[in-house]
Amino acid sequence: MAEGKKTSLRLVVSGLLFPIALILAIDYSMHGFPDLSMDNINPRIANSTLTAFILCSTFLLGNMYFYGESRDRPLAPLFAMIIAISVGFGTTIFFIEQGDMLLEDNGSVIAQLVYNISHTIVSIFALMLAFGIAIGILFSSLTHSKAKISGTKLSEEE
Amino acid sequence: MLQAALLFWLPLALIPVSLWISQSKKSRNGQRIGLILLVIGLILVLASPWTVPDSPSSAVGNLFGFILGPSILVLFGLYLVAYSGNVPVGRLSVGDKYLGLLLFFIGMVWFSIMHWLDLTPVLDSGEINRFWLIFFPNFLISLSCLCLSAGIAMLVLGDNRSAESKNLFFMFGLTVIFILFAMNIDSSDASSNDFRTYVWLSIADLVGIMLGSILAIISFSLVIYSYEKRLPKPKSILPPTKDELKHSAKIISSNIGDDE
Repeated sequence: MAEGKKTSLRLVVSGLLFPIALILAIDYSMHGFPDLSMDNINPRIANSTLTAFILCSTFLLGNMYFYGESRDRPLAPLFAMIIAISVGFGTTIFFIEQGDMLLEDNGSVIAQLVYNISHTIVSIFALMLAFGIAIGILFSSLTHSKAKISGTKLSEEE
Repeated sequence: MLQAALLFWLPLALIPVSLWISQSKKSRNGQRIGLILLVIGLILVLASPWTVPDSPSSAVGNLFGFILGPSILVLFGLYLVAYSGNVPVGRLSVGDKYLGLLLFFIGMVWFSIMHWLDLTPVLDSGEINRFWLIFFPNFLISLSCLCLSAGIAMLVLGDNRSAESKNLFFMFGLTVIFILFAMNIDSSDASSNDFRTYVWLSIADLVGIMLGSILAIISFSLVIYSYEKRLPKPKSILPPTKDELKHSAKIISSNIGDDE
């Protein structure tokens, strides 16, 4: 039973990754690799990782205050902050060590920072809109499906 | 810079804060204040191309202004379709279902026209808003991934849901075809080669967002895990006596209306 559930979850997760693999495979077979070097792709991954980490950590930090209050652990948010800063610091060093590459087309660090936040907000909005549409289609399909239990079957069971 | 902070970033930060305040159940005033702040924040962000035209950040406001219409149409259309079906309360009429379908269709066509024809978000300088080239591939890729995953989830986790999952597979197929067409045919404002580049970069974005979010969740889970592990075990109490059980049975039977 548990194995069956695991397989089902694997299928659902593979459904998330399959379209990306399909699009890249078709595009690569038709045109090859685009005019992009790893110097373009790496900063993009690094910047979106760091910005998503910061935004997500800020949100979770707010929740940690409530957690600390409910469990009577006032220092919980402080420890969480220390761990988040350490992980963020380590991740930043890891990405910077891959090359001097965190600046994209922007002239200064502040401009890059502001651009990263705008960029991530736009990406997250795109993701949320897509999520809303997928959930909307799923919910609409379910509410318009035929009833699985017929009236006669119900009365028979009674 | 200060102008951009006051007229763009502050209102942008106001949007999630106001949503948070509006969810407060402690006072009705909180909900009203949250709603008012939300409207003010939204208006100021959407007005940023005029209030702070020199700031590069106002391009985000420009993009939101362009995509607000089709986004509302699509989501409101789906809401009408969903709530005109078999829902226990607040069921809408059959006419609302067709209106919802029409709104959804118009919204999706509007998004397509924004890519293929002259409705592409363009800045005052005449160049395409670069955030549109981030938003649209991200949106299409996310939509295809989520639709396929939700369709599979319906099949493998639901009971006899193959007919319902077809809608999600249809949407997945349509989105992938759209992406492949856009990667091979030039639109009025962007070449297919540019779009290809942005699709690859969008995938890098999504990978980064997933990595960053997972890292943040793991970091905070570690703290919670370490605290929960150190919590003392709850004190065990004695099992209920016969009198206590009788008393509980009496209360339960009086509440469920059982005669015995």
